[in-house]
Amino acid sequence: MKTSSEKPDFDSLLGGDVKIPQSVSIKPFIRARMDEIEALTQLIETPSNNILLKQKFPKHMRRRAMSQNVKRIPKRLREHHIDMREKSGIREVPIKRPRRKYRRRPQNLLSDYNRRQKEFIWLETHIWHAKRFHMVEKWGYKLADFPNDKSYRACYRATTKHCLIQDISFYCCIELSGLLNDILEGMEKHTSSECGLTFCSKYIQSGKTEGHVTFFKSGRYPYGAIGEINYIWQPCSQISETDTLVLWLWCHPSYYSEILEELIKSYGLDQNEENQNLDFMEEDDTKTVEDIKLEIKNIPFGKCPTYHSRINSVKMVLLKDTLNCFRLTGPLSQALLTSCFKEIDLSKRTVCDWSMQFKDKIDIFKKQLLFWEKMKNITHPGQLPPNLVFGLLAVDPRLTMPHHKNKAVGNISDFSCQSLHSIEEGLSYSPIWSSKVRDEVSASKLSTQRLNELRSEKLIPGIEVELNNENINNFPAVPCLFIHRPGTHMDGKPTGYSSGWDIIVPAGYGQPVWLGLVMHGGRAGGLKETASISREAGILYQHPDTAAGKLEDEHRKNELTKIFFRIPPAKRPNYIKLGFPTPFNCPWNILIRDWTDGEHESFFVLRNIKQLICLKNKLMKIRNKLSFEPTMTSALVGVMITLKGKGSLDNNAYICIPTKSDLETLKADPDFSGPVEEKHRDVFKENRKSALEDHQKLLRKLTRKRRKERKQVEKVNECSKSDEIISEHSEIMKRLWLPECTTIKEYDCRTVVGFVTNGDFSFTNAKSSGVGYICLKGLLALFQLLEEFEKNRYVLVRNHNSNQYRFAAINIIC
Amino acid sequence: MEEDTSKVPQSTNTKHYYKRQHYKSDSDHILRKRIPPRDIRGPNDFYITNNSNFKGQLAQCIKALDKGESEIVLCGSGAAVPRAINLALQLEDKYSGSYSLDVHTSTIHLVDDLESISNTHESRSQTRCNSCVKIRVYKINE
Repeated sequence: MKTSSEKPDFDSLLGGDVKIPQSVSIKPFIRARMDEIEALTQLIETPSNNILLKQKFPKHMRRRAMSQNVKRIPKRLREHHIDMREKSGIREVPIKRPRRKYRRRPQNLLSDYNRRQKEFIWLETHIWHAKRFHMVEKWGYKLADFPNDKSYRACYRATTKHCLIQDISFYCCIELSGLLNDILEGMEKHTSSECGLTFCSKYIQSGKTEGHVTFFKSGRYPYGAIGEINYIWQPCSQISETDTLVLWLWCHPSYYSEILEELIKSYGLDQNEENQNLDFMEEDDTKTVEDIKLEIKNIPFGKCPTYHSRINSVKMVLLKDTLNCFRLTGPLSQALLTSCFKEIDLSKRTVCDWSMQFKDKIDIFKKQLLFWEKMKNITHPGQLPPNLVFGLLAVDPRLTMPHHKNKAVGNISDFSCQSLHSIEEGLSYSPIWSSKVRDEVSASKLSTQRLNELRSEKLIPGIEVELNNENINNFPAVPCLFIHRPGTHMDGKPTGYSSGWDIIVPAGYGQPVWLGLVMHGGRAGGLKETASISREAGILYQHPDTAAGKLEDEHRKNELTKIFFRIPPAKRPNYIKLGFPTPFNCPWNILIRDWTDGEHESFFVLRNIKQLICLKNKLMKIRNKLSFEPTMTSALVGVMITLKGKGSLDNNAYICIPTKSDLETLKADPDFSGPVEEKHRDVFKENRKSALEDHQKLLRKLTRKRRKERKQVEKVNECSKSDEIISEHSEIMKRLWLPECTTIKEYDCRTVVGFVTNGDFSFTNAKSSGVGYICLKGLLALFQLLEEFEKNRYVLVRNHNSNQYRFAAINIIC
Repeated sequence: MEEDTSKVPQSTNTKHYYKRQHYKSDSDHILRKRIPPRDIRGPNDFYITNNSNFKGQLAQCIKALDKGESEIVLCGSGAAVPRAINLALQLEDKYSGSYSLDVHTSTIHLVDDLESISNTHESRSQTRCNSCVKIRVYKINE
């Protein structure tokens, strides 16, 4: 054999023919075996699998968390273990989270806060709110939804008797500047003079008041609405053709990007790349806490994105998140405002800071102070000229904050002072319009630490000392802008309900101003309060013809559907039996299609103010003729619905036209509560039953199959898995519970004309009431019917969970 | 349009006019009434409105008086004046002998804003007067 000849078995001493040498020279010996040795050492030093030392411990020495924590291993063996671990490349545990005490150090905390704001931006008062409110992620922000404490009624009471405060800094500001004609030219396509005052109004151009306008997609009026925006012009006494004017647009974040897109298109704007902001990017070691707080915001001004027009003089700067805005609602907002902000008399100010450059405007500031004194004598914001804009130079509110929370009720020294009829020139002037001033004010904000140091230096601390201080005029100043909001003027609602003020302050002062307002007795509210106020006041928002409104509807529908299917089937309301095919949304498209016989699918909300007034007058005096020819069949009209007697009103309730017999019965019996919808036949009941049975049969079959397979081969076949089948079945069941709605107008025994979008019990009416829309054609049909029943001008409404129709009064919102 | 809107429109002072016609909205303006000027409301002030239930208002006043208040004030303006008087008389009737009435009449100046609805017209405001009554119901000291 070949192998035996190559591998000699015996050495010469034993009779073999191989001679073993007397000595071995190590070097050549090792060299010959180098490869093997290397391979062996490699294997020892780097174990291929992670069988570590710890697994070789005797049982009594093993500890559960050894693999997590080295310190569980006896100390004498630990070194070896660490060595082994390093060599095998296994990492111990995910990176250790720093201990709480370390995380809570101000510096680390701040950087962590900034990191957490990357996805959803926080308002400056976020931490205050996060402790006390339910927070929601909406429109790119983390916003306060509703307070944690039991406060629904308290918040309503605040709006009627005291003052409700809301942080609405999420409203986005866009600054447009340029020649008047250039700005107006671009805006003309986006607005319509039929909807009320537009940018062309000379009265609003003076900057004395704030304007409101509905923004449309370029040239698409009446379709293509985007949303409502508020705007203020920078005040100037004489508007000339060659002056550069500045305009601030305030819009809701849900349609901010849409508006931005439209503006860029219609002005031909280009973004300035690589602008001067490099100077600000320089990393500074001497950053204060206040600087880090504002790090992620577009402050200083140079960081704001800037756009220049290719065509004309228009320039756009996005001031999003660089200004704070607070909303005060309620009669005491007057008292709250005047007690929270202490004015600074510029003529007596001796400190050299940014305010020095406004010394030449001293007359205007004096006028403002005079007006401020008058304001203190007014008990209700509803007594002031509507939409007034007022600028004030105020002391940093932290310096004049009371020690304990108290309620500002206002003290009137001179009641004989009458309401102010008109707005004087110059009241709206404010240094806040200057970007340099804003930057300087934000940068020179006293840190809390410094403030406390200053306080501790005082012999007798307290607000009284500060207020009597002669130096109050030399305290750090904040330019503020107050914008008046007139209340509602709906019939049947208290005049001036929801009136109040909006406060605009520069970045960095959000928290101090907010605390000041809270300490003076304001009641904080969230987004839920916005909805309830607008319902109480009869204001429509998030119109269904805007993209933002549609998105919100869709979102709400999905959420409610999810909740509905979480309820066990036996406990769910059967909407097929109730004859309510759309309990979670308002199918405007279907409604319009039904009313226009399939002519129109798209619709718009009627905003033509003259036509709305005509419709309103017609409803009031039903016998009169309608003074315009209604041709827009695809229009929706905003209405307020107030139930006649008892009953509740929910979102998505149907608004129906009563039949003649209904109104006749009501005429005969004023206590008649309304007709009842017949129970519909549940056509899908059998289908649901059989689908469920089939499904269960199939599942059982699959289970048997799996069991069989497990016995035979130990491995479950892919095809017998039931996850997909279950999800498919749940989809089928969902469709059988809530079948898709194809027609709505004549679905029930009464003709549907519209839906309620925001309905609930209303404290102002002491009845259920809500706002919604009805289609114009339906409204005209209603008018025709009501002409005979002048005294009983009611519609019928029905909630999703009931088959009782109830009579309700109707009011057109304009 | 008027230059100085702070003044009362001349026509109101001089000429005879039909009150209802003058203050209506027209095709270019919407009339928005402002809130009437009023004092800070104390716990014993009752502002009487025609919208509330009369019996409810009466019950409120009786409750306050039964609680031992030495005086309450009923304020009514314009159309609510008769109701305020009626209420006060009812109270006097109920508490004859122990409470007495003290009536003050005055005139308040109300402001209406005429909001223009088209860019060509200017918004303006106008004042009008309204009578109001303040009735003090107070305890007679014996």
